[in-house]
Amino acid sequence: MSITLDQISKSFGSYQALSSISLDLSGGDLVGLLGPSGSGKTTLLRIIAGLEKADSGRVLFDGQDVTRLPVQQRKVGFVFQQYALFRHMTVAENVGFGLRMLPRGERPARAQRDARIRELLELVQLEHLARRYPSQLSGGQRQRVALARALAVNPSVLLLDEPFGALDAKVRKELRRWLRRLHEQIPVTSVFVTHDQEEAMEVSDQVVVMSQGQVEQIGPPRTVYEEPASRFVFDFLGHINALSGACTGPRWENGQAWLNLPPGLGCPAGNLTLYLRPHEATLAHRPGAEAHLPVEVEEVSVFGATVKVELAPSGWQADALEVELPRDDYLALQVQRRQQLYLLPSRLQSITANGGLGPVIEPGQQ
Amino acid sequence: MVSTRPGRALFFTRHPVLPGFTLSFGLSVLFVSLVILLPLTALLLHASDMSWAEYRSIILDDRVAATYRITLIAAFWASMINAVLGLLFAWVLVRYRFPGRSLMDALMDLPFALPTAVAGITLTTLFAANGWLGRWFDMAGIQIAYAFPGIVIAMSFTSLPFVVRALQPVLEDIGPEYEEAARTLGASNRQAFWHVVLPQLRPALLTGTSLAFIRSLGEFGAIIFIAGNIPFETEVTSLMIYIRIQEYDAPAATAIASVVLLASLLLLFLVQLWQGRFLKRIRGG
Repeated sequence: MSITLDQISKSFGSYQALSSISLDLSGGDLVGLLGPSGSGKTTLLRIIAGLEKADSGRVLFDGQDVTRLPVQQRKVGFVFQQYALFRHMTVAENVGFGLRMLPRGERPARAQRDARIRELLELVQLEHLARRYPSQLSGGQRQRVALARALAVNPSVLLLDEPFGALDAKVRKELRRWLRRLHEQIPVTSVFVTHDQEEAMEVSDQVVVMSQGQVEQIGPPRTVYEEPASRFVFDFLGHINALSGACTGPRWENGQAWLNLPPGLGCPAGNLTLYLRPHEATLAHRPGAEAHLPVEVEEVSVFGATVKVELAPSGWQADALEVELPRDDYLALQVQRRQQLYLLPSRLQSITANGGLGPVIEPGQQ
Repeated sequence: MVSTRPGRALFFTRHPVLPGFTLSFGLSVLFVSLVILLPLTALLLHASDMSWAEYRSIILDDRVAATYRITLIAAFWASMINAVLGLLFAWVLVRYRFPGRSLMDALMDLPFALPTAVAGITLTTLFAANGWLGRWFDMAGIQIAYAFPGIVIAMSFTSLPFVVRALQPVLEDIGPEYEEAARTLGASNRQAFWHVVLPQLRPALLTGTSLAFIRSLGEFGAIIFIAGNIPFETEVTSLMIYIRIQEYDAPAATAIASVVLLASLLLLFLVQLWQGRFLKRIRGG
């Protein structure tokens, strides 16, 4: 079932949580609502569910206006951040709750309900814990019970509020993959809220990046990452190094550091900020023809396929820089702490004077 | 030196993790002994001076037995009223934000802070046949002051905070997301309350109501002003104890007091037992 949001606004007192949000989410997708805390993503999710009323705007499911429909009739499955499992009921009773609440005419017989509960518990691989109480389960197990409970009533939309927020890193990763697989088995339109970029990138078909009650960009994870629509998106998705300096002619300068700028690149107000992703630069023992960025090695973190090198600018002003090198390059370079090296950026994003995204600079290509 | 095998160290010879255990534990025991256990023992000793037959004849005297019935029935109704009202008040105080909320919250403790005699006199003036509230009931032919309903009102006034204060922290703890979860699963507001909210409140509600009941069994000050104290009709047990004392019949007073004491203790233990079992289930273990 597709979800359409039409100019949704919501404020709490004088605080504008959402300002005129319009979104089209196509049926069967797994959508990640990504944003920093306070960006209004949870409020938006609650408005879709009907747990919160929008001040203005409409919510449509498959083109049908459900704005005034109470939450009970929207047929949404909602998974709460802290799971909100009913503590006085067993796992099986929790999962069967939605079926038990159906009006008498639609309520399946006891045996059918039990069969459905068993089926769902098998789906979330918890059939052996049916008689336990929520307090006897681990965080990851509770999360799966909450999901099974939400799926019991065959919801047309599944909404998850920070589904992995309260779990430790390892369980989180497992559950993420598991959610992805589950979504392939039961292709119900799902929207989940997260503030974790990696999570949104790994799990979603579509990412909605939000900031300060507005949608910054919608698109598949790759598009959002590679073609960010705004400085906020660029900044928010992944780590960046900010290099700010002054322009003298076709040259960007900051103390002893300089970069040759491609011809035609305007340099408004004499100052220019450049954003550099950690993986879009290498290190060398001598400066390049186009870039002269002397740095000193501070910390090296050898963990995983890439090696993270923390650098301090030497002879110029910038915050600590972070570069990610492929392991082989790192070994070839024989990096040592306190060593003097040169940074060779391959791709830089320029920022315009009004804070927007300017042209991309690729020093190696000239 | 107590010789103990490793792993089987006696509780008191184990080295405590937190400092100051000896002093604080000693003080607690001293306090419990001096203030609670010693007077209770004295009471029971006093009562045990008399023979079983004497004891029986005192506590099963017709007039005394009538007070048990009146006290129990009145306390029952008072705690039923308080269960409902207390839940309502606690709900309003926790779930809604309105001007004057903290004032209302503070006023909840008034029945505890107010001398019970003051409460008794105030309630009597209010509910007397010519009082502000009593006159309306009088018109409908219902007598409250100097009758059985007066006892119920005095009891519920003095014990209401037990229910409110027992429920408040639990309500704050369970938060609105449980009702919301129930509603997303198709439950109406009423179903959400009956199937999800109330069961989670049950232990606290039971504790609060039981404490209110136990307190009502022994309430004296507030009741004697409003009850009218007619033998066999509106006399409560605590008044009976007082009457026996007035008659310089201390052993009889002690005997009746021991009945009230045993009833209260028994109830207290039952509540603890039941609550322990429930909590074990929802907290795990």
